[in-house]
This record gives sequence, structure tokens and C-alpha cells, in this order.
Amino acid sequence: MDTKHIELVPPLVEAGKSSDLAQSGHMVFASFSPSNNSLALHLVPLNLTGSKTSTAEQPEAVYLAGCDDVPSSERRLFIADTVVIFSMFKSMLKDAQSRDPTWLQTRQALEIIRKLSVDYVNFIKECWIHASQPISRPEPLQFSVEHYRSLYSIFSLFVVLFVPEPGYEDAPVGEELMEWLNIHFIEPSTEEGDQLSSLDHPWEDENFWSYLTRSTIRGFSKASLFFLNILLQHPSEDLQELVKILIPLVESHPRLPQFTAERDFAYASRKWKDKVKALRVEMDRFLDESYDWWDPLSDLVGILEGRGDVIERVCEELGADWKEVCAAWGIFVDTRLRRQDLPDVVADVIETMPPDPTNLEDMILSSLFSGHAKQVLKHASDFDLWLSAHLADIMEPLGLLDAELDFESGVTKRDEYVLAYAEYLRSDSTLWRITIAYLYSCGRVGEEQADEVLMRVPLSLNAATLDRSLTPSDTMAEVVKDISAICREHSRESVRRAVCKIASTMLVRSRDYGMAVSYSTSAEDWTGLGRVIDAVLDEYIQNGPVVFAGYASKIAPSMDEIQSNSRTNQIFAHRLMFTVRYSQMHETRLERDYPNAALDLLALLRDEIAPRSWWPILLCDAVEFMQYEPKLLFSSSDAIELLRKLEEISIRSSQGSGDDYLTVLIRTIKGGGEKEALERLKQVRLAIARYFARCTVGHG
Amino acid sequence: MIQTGLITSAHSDLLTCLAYDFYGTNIASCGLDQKIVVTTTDQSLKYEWKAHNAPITHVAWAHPEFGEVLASAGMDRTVRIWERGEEKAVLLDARGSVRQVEFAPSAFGLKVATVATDGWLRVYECLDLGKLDVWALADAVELAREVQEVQGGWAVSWCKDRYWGQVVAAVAGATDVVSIIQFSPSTSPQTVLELKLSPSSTTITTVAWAPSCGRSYHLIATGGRDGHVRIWKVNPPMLDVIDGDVDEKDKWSAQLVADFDDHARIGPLEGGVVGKVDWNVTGTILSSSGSDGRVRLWKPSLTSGGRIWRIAGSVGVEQKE
Repeated sequence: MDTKHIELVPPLVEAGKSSDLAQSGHMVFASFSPSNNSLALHLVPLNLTGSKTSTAEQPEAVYLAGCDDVPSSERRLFIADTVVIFSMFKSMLKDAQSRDPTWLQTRQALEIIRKLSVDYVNFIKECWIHASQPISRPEPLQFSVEHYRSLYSIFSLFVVLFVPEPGYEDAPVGEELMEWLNIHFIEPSTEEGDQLSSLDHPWEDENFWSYLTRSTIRGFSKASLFFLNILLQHPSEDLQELVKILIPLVESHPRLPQFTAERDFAYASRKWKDKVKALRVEMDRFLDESYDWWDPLSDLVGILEGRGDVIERVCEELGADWKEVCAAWGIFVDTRLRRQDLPDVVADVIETMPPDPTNLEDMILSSLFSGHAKQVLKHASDFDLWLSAHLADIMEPLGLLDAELDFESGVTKRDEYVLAYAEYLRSDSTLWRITIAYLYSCGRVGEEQADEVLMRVPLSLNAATLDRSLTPSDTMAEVVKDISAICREHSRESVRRAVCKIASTMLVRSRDYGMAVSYSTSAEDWTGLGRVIDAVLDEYIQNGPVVFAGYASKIAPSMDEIQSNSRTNQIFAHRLMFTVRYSQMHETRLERDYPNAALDLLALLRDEIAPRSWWPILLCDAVEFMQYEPKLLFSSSDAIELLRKLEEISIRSSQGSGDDYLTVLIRTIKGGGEKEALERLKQVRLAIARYFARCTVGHG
Repeated sequence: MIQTGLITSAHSDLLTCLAYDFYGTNIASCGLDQKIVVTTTDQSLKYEWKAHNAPITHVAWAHPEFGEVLASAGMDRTVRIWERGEEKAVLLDARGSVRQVEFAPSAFGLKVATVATDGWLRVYECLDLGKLDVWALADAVELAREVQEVQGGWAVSWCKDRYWGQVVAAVAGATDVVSIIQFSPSTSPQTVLELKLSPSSTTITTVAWAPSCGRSYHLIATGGRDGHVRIWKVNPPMLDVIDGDVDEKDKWSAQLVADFDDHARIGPLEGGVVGKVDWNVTGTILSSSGSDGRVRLWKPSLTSGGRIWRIAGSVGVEQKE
């Protein structure tokens, strides 16, 4: 396999002078992109101290390079269409095997495998036809017409040999092989035939006999008979006599499809061969004559007699290869040739007529004929990773590949080829859905690779959206939903949670706290939830009560759900409750419903819903309520409660625990410290004292 | 292989390090000009700023669950933590240039390992994930004495799985031994394994621990001043220890499974060094960068237990003839 090598542009050194790079004190570093196995490369100094500048044009440039050609044009359609068949196959196998582990041996299983294999063949055929059309395309073809033709011939042969119609595994395979050969390697050409038939004396043309012989080998009796009938006008009367016997023989050549029972076919073949032998006897009368038509006619009869040595020699002379010999074997030499007999025949044939080692298609075809599954896959993976993956995928359930899991590596032979194909698909990160469809079918290794691919599907609030009606967070939500659905399908809960965690973090940064809370809860990430809540509370500190209330109202709807969920960590549920209710208190206050706001505030303190670090803030809020003119909003026992909290703060602070109570208040006083905070609380103490006075007066 | 793009950098001097973010959509680079530059992969500049008071040696992205967080290491002996271009923390313990920073797997929190030319490996943990400004030194290990820059190698790479706890592979100074060190909250750091070459020969300059993605063994790649890329197959211990007895199976063990000397020759001369080894995110391809002016890619055969490798591509920087 040739090593792929490129030189980057613009170059950094002259041709053949890589050593200049080190001499000038430089080296090139590479880093893998997580999204698609591509590389970013750049110049670096060999040593950091005393580094020299580079003479390159753009020494700070970053080069990007990829390992594989990203699928484009018709190849993308091919990949997208065939994954549908693959997925159907996988889900069918999974369903069936969970019901009955021996299902693979049943006829029904084989029928399904055959149907899907034929689907692949039809897809490839369509792609080949489409590629051959001389239409104008937006992009040129990525793979050649010839490539698709090869895929078509290979996959068709695979189906013929290894996925026969259920019930016909032991039937003779000659006709199907010849049919395959005639479809994919057309000989002789119709042009030749047309050209010959337009001549007055076709037998004078140098191609006449090779055409006639080839038609016969290929089983084109109509064409053979046409030209045999023309030979009746040949000047030689001897030839005319022989041809008169030959014609009915060719006409009556028994072919398997003409019979319903193989036994009848076998009988008819034997009888027919006897007649051919009789013709041979007739021909032997002319051994001494030196007719120019004798040799080719004898060869023709030799073929009909089923003489393998004649067929081999004739094929070689015609420029036909081992495939033709093998196919002809099943029609003429051994009419009952079975699939399991083929490897022996092939082994003999390719000894004298080997396949072309420079032609991968030929190597794959000969490995198929020989029944060497591993060789098939090895050559197929050199030819096209799609091919080796999909062949291996069918070979394993058919028992052609060892399905044993290699414990150390965690993969089977089939997995190896499917994983290689998936790695090729990784070159385009937009194909991720297709990539993971293949990866999740490859056991533990595939699953973990797929998890990695899923995790790397970008979540972004900056992504350009096609749908203008969707906000950035809606767009991201769609992606998360998509990924979550796939995670559920394949039972990858840890991935789903990880993705939700990331989404939550991003949404916090963009202040979409409501959605952030949903994602943290969905991931059961309680620390993350705590951070969201802290961020919302921070809005109060940074931007004041109005802004805070606005944001907190977005997380309020989640509160009920979180509290009723028994899995919620109660500490965070509690903090969430404080945040929501504190914001509600501010909303009530902003609506000027002071009595209720005051009650809410008191409840937060008295019922210990507010954390200690927020008591000073709430006490400062209470001042406004205590100064409310129209009526007394707190009872005297309420006021005592406020005082009690204040006392606790003062005492603990003087004992050195100021941090527990004062940090939030300090943050709201720009440039202040503990001293300023305690000063602020002195104001609260004064307000409470005045309030007590009002209470007394009120009562008095 | 195929070249797919060229990003003209905003740097005014050579780069020393480049790191893709988690999704591969942004690239952070740092260099001799003391700047960090963040660009998108389709070449629009996002941020650039002067980050250190001396050349920056390394830059790394944290997991996105912590936000858009970067760590940088500099020859000014500091490690700095950034969020979207804003400095969040400066870590000052190193008494030599800090040569590499790597974030731990996110399961262990927001933690970063650093290695400096003073020979120390230090692990820091962020204590306030909301503000990112409070970091504590969680662990410190003296790996080596201080050596001159041109003779030494400093590298650290975390084990990417959480199953075996917090484990790193690290080198410092002029050594051919890679230390595998385990950190745990209740005990001091333990060296659980050493990857030693025998006979000993070179200084290791770079270490990379492959993501294991379903394999039952680990792969650690190293590069050395002898121009060799080596790959170690590391077997972690079986985790259920019965009766508190420690037997052979319960220890970490390693074997050298690959040794490539392709970077050792620069043209007809000996003397190439390997500067960097890097794995892709599925641990299926290794890249090695050498002073022979080549970057090479290596792929293991999946069913060989890490024993059979082939070269899967290479990149050079020569003018085409």
C-alpha cells in the first residue's frame, strides 16, 4: 500500500533540503483536530532559548491537512443511501437475535440477508449508471465510472457465490456465473457482430472464428446459430456437412433454466454430450485434410464436448482470462459444478492463468471465486473501504468470517473493517450521524469511539442558523435534542449527561438561566445547578434587584419540577427555592405590594430559607419596609426576629466568622470591606430601633 | 493526504504550540511573541492578547463543561488561566520555565498538570468553578533536577479514562524514563510504573497517552532526542484486590511494542530529534513530528493488540520539484 505523502505549500525549504530546517533551528509540529482527524501544522523553534528567525515566507502560518479525501459529489449520495440499508440490516439482526439466537441459520434469515445484499447491488448499479451519464454536474465525480463498475461486478459476484437463493445453495452454479460474466465483462462486442454480419462472406474475415467461438463459450446460441447458418454457404462442402450436424446440436444444448428438476437436466445433458461425441467421430474422418476451418471448428466442438484443456487453450488464444475459463467450466465441462466445488477448479485454472496482481478488482474477484474471505477483504480494503466494510458486515452473519471477539482488542474481524470505514467517514464531521451508525455496531470499541464522536458534535450559541426564526439557544437546543435521542437509542446515558452539562455552562455564560437549569437538572448535575443558581444570585449583586428578578423569574418554572423529583440533591433544591422566592419578593415589591413583600421577606429569614451570607442583604431590604409610612408591615415579634438575626451576624463577626455572613454584602459595596459592611448593618440596627418605637406608639 | 487550508497567523514571531478546542472549531496558538491568538478554523480571528512576559511554551483548552477556558505556560515561570481572553488566575510556584500544561479528564474537576524546568510536576485544582479565580496546588512531585534546556525534555500527559483514577505519564530533565504517577485525594502521589528503555540511551522530549476507546490496554507514545518514536503498551491493574494481597496482576505493567527510527535521519545525516507526538481523539492514529522536517502518521492494526503498526501518511515542507 503506497504511503500517502504531501509537501505543504508554501514550502519552508527547497526540494531535497529538509535538513536545512533543523540546521536553521526549526521543526514542524502537528496537532490533530478533534472533529475530523485533520492536522494543523506549523513551524516551531527547535530550542526556545536562542532561537533564530526563519527565512520562510510566512513563518507563523498554520497549515491544515487531511488524511483522506472528504467524500464529495456522488460519493456522498452513495454513502448516505447505503447506510440506510446497513442500518436496516443491523436492526433486523439485533431484533431477531434477541428473540432467537439460532435465527441466523433459518431460511427466513437467509432470505433477508439476500434481499438486502441485492439492494446493495442495485444501489451500486444505479450509481454506476448515473455516473456514466454524460450530463453536466455541479461537481465532477469523485470516483470514476470505472470504480462503480468494479464495485458492481464485485458485489454481484459476492451475491452469486455466497448469498444464493435459500434452498439453492447446493444447486449448480454455472449458469449464474456465466450470467454474471456476460453482464459485467461483455464479450464479444455487438459492434464486432454487426460488422461481421454486414459482410458477404464473413468467414473470410480474420475475426470470424474468434467471434463465433467466443459467442459459443458465452452461451449466446442465437448469435452462434446465425453465423453457423451463414457457414452453410461456405464453399467447402465438407464444412457444410459438418455444420449441418452442428446446428441442431447448438440449438438443442440443454441449459439448466430450461428444466424444473436438476435430475432431468443431468439426464438431458448426458444424452446431448453423447450426440456431440458422435459429431467428433464424424470430424475425425477429416483429420488428414488441411482445411483452414478445421482447427477452429474442432475447437468449437471441443468446447461443446466439455474438454477443459481445449477451453483453457482457446481462452488464452482469445485473450480471455481465468474468469471466462471458470464460467465456461460450469456450462460445458461440469454442468453440475456446485459452489463448494469452485475453489478447486479455480485453483487449477489460476495456476496457468493467474489474475492480474496490479488490478485490485481482478484480485478481489479471484479471491471470491477461491472462497478466501480474508483475502477478499484485504484486497477490498485497498480498493475501497466502503467495499471491505459492507462485505465484511454480511460475511460475518453468513459464517464466512470468524465472529470471535479478540478480547484484548475488543473487536472481531468484521468490526475491524467497519471501523476502518467509519474512520474514513470521520474526515467529514458533518457526516457524524452516518459515522456513529457504523461505530455503534462494532462492540465496545466502536461504542466508545462513537461516544467520542457524539461528544464532539459542536454545541454553540454562535452557529449560523438557516432558520431565522430560531434563536441561537433554540438552535443549540435542537442539536442537544438530536444527540439526546441518539444517546437514548443506544443507551449512552453518560454521554447525554455530559452534553447537557456543556449546554448548561454555555447557557449560563449567555445568561439563559432558565434553559441552563433545565439542562443541569436533566443531567442530574447538582453542582452545575448550584453554579447556575449562584450565577443568577450574582445578577443581583452585579446588576441590582430589577435585573435579578427578571432573570430569576426564568428559573422559577423549574422549581416545582426539581423539588418534586426525588433524585434532586436537596441542598441545591433549597438554594433554588431561595433564589426564586427572593426574586418573587422583589417582584412583589416592585409592584408596590409592600405588605406581601414584607411577609415574604420575613418568611425567608424566619424559616431559614435564606442562606446566612444573604441575611445582611435581606436585613438591608427590610429597612425600606420598616420605613413604610402608611402602616406597620411587621409585628413586634417579627421585628424581634430581624433583630435576632442582626445580633447573630454582629456577634459571629466579632468572633472572626465575618466571612460566613458578610461576603455577599461586601460585594455589593463597591470598594468596601468588612468594616463598611458592618457600618451598613448599623443603619439597619437604627432602623429596627426606630421601628420598635413606632410599634410602641402604635400600640400605645 | 491533502492540504486543505492555510491560516495566516496574527503572531509576529514563531509559534511554539497550537491547540484545537474540544469541538475542533477554534484554534489557540501561542509563541515567542508572548501572545495567545484564538482563531476559528475558517480563519476569522476571535481574540489575541499579550499573555505572558516571556515566550509562551504551551497552551491547552479545558473541557467545555467549564466554559471557554485556556491555560498557558511561559518562560516567565508562570501558568495562567484565561477565559475568553480575560486573565482569571496566575500560578506562581514554578522556579523554572513552565514547559507544558494539560487539563485532567473533566470527571476529576477542573484540574491542570504542569511540568517545569525546575524538574517539578505540579497539579492545580480550581476551587471556584463559577469565577475561575481560586486555584490550589493539589499535588507536587519532584521528577528531576534542573537541566539546561537544550539537553532536556519536559512533558506530561493524562490518562484519559476515569476508571483507574488520576494518572499521568510525565518526564522532566534529561531522562529516558517516563514516570507513571497516580494521584489520590488521601495519599501522596505514587509512581506506579516506569517506562524504561534498556539499554538507556536518550532523552525523552514528548509523551502522549492515547484515549483507549474500548481497548483493554493503554498505549503511550514517546519521542526522544535520538529521533525514535516509541510506543508502549501499558496494562493497568485488575481492580478487585481480594484479601489485600498485591500480586503481579494488580500492578501496572508495560511492554515496548513499537520503535520507529524514521525521524532519526535528516537526509544522509544522523541526528534528528522527535519534538512532539500526538494522538487523535479515538486513539487510532498517532502523529510524530521530527526535526527531519517530516510529520508522520502511524496506525495500529486493530486486532494486533497494539503490536503491528503501519505508516499511514506523512507531510513534508519541501518545495516540489
